[in-house]
Amino acid sequence: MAKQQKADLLQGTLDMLILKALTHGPMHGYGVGQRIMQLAEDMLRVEEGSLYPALYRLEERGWIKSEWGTSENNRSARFYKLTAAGRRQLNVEEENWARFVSVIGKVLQTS
Amino acid sequence: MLWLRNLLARVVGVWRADRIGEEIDRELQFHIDMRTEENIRRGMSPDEARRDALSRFGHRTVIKERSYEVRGGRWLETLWQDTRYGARMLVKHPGFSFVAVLTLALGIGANTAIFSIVNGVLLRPLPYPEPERLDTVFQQNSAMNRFGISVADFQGIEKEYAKIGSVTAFTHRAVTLTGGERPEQIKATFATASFFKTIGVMPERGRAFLPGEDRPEASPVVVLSYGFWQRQLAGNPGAIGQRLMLDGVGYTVVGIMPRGFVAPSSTTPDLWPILQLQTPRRRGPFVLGVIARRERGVSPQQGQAELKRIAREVFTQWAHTFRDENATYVSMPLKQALIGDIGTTLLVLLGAVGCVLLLASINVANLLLARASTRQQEIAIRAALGAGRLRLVRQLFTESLLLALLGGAAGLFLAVWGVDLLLAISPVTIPRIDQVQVDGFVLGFAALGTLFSCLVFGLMPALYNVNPNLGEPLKGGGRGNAEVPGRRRLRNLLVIAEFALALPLLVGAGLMINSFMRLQQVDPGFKPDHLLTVQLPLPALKYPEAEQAINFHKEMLRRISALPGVRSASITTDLPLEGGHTNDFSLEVRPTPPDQSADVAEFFSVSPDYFRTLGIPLLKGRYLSEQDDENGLPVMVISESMARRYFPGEDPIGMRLKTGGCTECEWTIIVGVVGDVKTEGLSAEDDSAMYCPFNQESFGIRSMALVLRTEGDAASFVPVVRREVNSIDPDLALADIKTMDQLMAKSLGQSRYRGLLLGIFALVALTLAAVGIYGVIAYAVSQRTHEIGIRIALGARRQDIFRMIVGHGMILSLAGVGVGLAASLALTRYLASLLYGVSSTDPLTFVGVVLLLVCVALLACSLPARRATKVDPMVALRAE
Repeated sequence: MAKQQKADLLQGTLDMLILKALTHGPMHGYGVGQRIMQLAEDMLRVEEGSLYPALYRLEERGWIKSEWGTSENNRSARFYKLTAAGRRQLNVEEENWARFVSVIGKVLQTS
Repeated sequence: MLWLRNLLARVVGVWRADRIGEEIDRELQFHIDMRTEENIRRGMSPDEARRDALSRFGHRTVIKERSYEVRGGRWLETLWQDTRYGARMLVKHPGFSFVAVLTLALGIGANTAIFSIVNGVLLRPLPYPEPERLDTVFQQNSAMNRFGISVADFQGIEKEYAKIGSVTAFTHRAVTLTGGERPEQIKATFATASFFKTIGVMPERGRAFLPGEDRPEASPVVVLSYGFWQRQLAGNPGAIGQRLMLDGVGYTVVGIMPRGFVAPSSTTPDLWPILQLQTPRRRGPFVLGVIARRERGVSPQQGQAELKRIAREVFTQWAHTFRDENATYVSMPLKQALIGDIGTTLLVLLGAVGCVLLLASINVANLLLARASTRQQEIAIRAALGAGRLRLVRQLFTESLLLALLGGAAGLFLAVWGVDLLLAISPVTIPRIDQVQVDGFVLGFAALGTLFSCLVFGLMPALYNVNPNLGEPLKGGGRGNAEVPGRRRLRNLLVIAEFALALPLLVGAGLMINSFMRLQQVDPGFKPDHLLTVQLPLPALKYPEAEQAINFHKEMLRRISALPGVRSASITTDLPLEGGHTNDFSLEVRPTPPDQSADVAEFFSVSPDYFRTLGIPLLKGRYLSEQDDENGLPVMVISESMARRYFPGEDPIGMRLKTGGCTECEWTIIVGVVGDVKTEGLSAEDDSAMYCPFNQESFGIRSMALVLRTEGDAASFVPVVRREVNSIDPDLALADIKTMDQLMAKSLGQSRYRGLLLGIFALVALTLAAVGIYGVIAYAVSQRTHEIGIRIALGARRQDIFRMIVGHGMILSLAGVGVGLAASLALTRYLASLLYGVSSTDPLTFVGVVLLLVCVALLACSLPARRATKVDPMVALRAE
């Protein structure tokens, strides 16, 4: 069975992915992880635990907000929600990323 | 083993009892549980599901730590850990902790105590509204010579100054209050109607003076201090409207000042009677104090310019009675005038205690550094276990901070107690001293002092102790005998700094003590033992004519002289050492040119026996005698200085002069020359003085002081004197009863105070420096035991070892002394105004202090050096 080629997460991109994952509405940490996997079609290798320091960091910066709520299986869980500042930040990061990709792509394509 | 780690994390989490930690734990657990459930749903066995969940999750403890740091719980927890650890270390080494805390407490306490006085006296604004608009006004005719304002001057100023502000005049005088059980002397400040309005504080009950109440025809009124109202009138609210008999005149009480009101003068009066100014016939005498309040927007310079303009106008108007072309009115901020020259003393003391605090901190730093070597292993192990450099510095610094806080708290207690002590031993009434209290400023200063000392002694050792080279101390096998060269250098530098700091303090103290001793040996010009002095003010109402006062004095002197045990009795307008009145004069042979200021000299009116009573020697001519009375020719006796200065190479006897700018008066003949007397205090220059018979010169006739020379204890004569005085006039009260010895002590007081305080600080500095160098040398010896053992084994003689060790100490102390000498030379000139008879660079003091310091260093080094010579080479080598 050919092993699927998985990409390591680039430094600093996890924050962007979390923000993106939260655009669809409030979610708990596990959900955010699942969502990222789902969006990446399991092509990313993410240490699940590392989500949490990132989530706390984003919250410190005011890009997301959190509160305790009840999960789908009736357990108490912490839910995260994108703030207006977070939404703006996501736009900025998406633009930066697009520019980054196109520049790197151009460099690699020239022979 | 993951489960164990998990369990541990759990246990640790619970043990921390930390909300943030718990929350993070719950959230991480939730994640793992969710993943496990998902895995089971996908068909894994529960065990497998759980293992997979954990492995996908990553290192849970690390993640928790990282999360914890982001969530901000880290900082607090570390601090708490470090504090507890630090406290444990302090308790473990009680000797070290005690010495360190005590050293710091002394340093911080002394600083805080001195600062609270500086704060109260120098820094706090005057307790009046907009105090920056208040000025004192006086006259000045040369850089040194200032004098008061006359009635004629004041009335001129009052009329003209109204355009830019308001002015008030006042004069302090003791008055006799009658109507109670027995007559009593109380302190009064007679002030014009605008007094309270000008300073800006109104009576709390009743009213202030009304405009016009200071005219002679108005009925007299008085405002009471809160203290007087409580004490004399039992706080009776009906006091307003009552009449008080002051010097035999009835004054109606119109107001009572609020409690805690501070008078704008160095003396605190009991009450403020209205000052009613008679129409003057000449300019002079210059006895009034004047305070001016500028309107808003009028600058001090504008105020001064206006005063100069007024001076020209008033001087021209009165030129026929008094001329002094160099004089003008000068204004000075009221606060500056009130503080006077105590400011220099306080700042010098503050500088001195600052040095002491620095020394104390350096000593604690040295202690910490010395102790550090024994902790090198502990620190290395912690570093090996993964503690970052910053983390270690922080831990050591927290320990220092703990020490500093303990020292600061103890210092604050010392300060509160120290302020009381400082004030209690203070000989002079320090102006504004009632403003001294421990307020926010003082607390802030103590906190700053604590922080500062902590930075000095805590940060350096912390930085130096954390040695990035882990291997060495671990290899050292626990004895830690390889000292980091940087640290040794630092310790040497600290010792040099200690000596450099101690030297200026010792020099300052040496100069002060030197001045004090010289001052003590000053010949006051009279014999101060067995002399009793009493102020005897006569009320003008009862003694309106000079003749009545003269008769009273004659009768009193006759009766008191006849008392058994009284050798002689006399009266004078001013006592020696207490400062006197001056008067200008013009010699017949060399009259003052009209465009020049007249010469001035101290001016006394005395009874003929005055010289014999005080023991002032006659140098030429004769003393005053009973025959020099109202009917005789006006005569005077002058001092030696006056004779030398104004009659160089001439015989002053028989020369004639006129005093007080009085042109129509008769000539006064000089009949004798007497020895110089220290009139303005022991440290003052010998001054020219004129003595006139009290029955010829009626100046001051109602405010004479009685002086008697007694056999036995002078103070024991107070009751008989009081009895005799009251047998002539039962309404008279004695005031300011003092022996001349007390006046002498008072005159020496400031100098003694400065010498004492600086001496104490210098002694502390010397001790700290000695302990500092002892510590460093002793430590060096203990570090070099092995080396010394080898040297001895190889044949070094004991005295070589001794010399080597002491030499090390001497190099350090001499380097410090060198720096200290330079600093002292630069600093002592600020002491110049406080010194007497010693130059601020007095070579003897400098040499003496340097010798003292070097000797102390020698002594401190020789103890460990002796220990070094006793090293047994076999023991030292075997210990390896």
